[in-house]
Amino acid sequence: MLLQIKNLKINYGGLDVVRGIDLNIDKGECVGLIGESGCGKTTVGLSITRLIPERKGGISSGEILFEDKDILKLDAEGLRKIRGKKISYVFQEPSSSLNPVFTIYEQIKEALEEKDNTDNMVAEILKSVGLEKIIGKKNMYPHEFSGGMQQRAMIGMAIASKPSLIVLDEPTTALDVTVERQILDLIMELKNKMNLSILFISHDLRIVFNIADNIGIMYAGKIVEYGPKEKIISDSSHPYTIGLVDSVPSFKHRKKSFNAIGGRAPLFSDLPKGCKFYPRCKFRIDRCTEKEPELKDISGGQASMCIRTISAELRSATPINGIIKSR
Amino acid sequence: MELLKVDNLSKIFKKHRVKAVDDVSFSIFKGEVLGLVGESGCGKSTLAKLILRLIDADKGNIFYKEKDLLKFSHGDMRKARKDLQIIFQDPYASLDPMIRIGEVIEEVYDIHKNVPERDRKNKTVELLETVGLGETYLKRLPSELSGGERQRVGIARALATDPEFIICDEPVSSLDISIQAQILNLLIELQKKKNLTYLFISHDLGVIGSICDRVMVMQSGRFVEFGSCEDVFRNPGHEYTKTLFKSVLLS
Repeated sequence: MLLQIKNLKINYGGLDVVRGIDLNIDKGECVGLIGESGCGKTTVGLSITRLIPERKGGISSGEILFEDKDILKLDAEGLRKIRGKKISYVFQEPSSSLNPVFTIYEQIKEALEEKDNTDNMVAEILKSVGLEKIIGKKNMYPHEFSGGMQQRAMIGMAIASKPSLIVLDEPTTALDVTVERQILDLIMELKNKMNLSILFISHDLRIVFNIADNIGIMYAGKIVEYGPKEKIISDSSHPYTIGLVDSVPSFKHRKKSFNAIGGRAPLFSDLPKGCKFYPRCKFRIDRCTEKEPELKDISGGQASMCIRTISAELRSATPINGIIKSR
Repeated sequence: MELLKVDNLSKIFKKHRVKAVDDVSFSIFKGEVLGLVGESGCGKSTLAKLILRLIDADKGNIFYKEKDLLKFSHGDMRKARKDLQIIFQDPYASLDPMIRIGEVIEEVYDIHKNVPERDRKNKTVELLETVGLGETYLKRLPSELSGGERQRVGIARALATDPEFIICDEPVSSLDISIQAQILNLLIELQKKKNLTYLFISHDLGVIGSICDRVMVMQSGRFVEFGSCEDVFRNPGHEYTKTLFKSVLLS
């Protein structure tokens, strides 16, 4: 196992925003982490190389084992050897990740491990991320690039150090759909060529379904369902996952109402007792408020945090309006 | 009945020499939801602004109930906007952070003078309830609301003049998926109940497919495909539409 996160808890200013997460990523595997704004998914991604600003709080407990070493126990020197080298990042907004006063060439060069023969190596990287056109054009700045090209350059910088794990945090959210497709294709191609492991963080089920092997669904700081992508989409078990899948807009709906999840995500300062999804859940029963359920294995690698088994019959028997109306 | 008819409409941004909207014609019928899909910079929002005369067209005609909007004086246009409303994309940018929700909506009555003084509060509360909020929201500031709630306020504001025609300019693209489904439900429900007509702008074919009757596909200021949703989704004709469909995942 390349990366093992065990019972990770992260605290921001006295509030637990990641409340105990386990996640494993194998060599060459792509794990998707899905959740809505504020569920803690980005925090998990950043915590892998301890990028959470100290002043905001920090990791309160847990282990992050990367190649069997606990990242949380590394000193500054040890951390530097991993951060941006063995584990690299690509973030959402390429225009704010790139430095506007340095050329793209210099920025990719900076990410290289070896400092000899850099021109050839930069050229090779540009080629592998589909930027052949700018090989040799050393004086191009980020503002001369389109969003898609900027993101290609970011991916180039991320692979320049030949990492074993890349954390992709909403890498295509700022891009148009046709460009999004190209960037996803590029990521898949590099993953296969370099046997990369990927943590793909996104809010969009459609994208993650296309790219991930396994998917984790996050809600209020915990993973509420985990499993192979086919299972998650077509055989979802947790009511939140069911709601998410039903909320994906598509031609099939044709003006019918969406089976939407009512209400809104709870605040971390005001979490409900028991199951955190209880107030929005249409399959709830009284027992749900007693205590927060554990993530339990179901079968075939799928695990869910719901105490009920939500069969197809139960799904179809529960009316859409069973959900609480939005406040 | 043809509610809105656009003929050979063009807008050129001279400084950048861009034909943002290039000789575009279409009509919208009463009670219809017409989709407009395309990628960033294709001219979708420019077209929306042209129809509301928030910017001036260079060429063409826009007929609303057979009257030429482009010939209207500013005063007449202001009156016409009672019927023609818009819901913007970003619920964070389209609400003034210093103005309470009740006042946001009452400002509309100040402009259009469509509600007598004594009915104002009742009408505002009624509007908030229509969009799934309630009286408790009257005194709140936008900062106290979530993105979905703000977009509901944006919808209530658009409904405050009892319009017939609403332009929805990417109303759900900055929202989380579960909230997006709630807002789409609300828009569908309102459209059916009040027999509203929408021009629904989105870059997401899934959203367009779930709500629209007909769809126009726009690329570089022109329509490359136009037809009923059924036809365009089952059997896209233009290469660009096909590329768009290939890019949409799992729908």
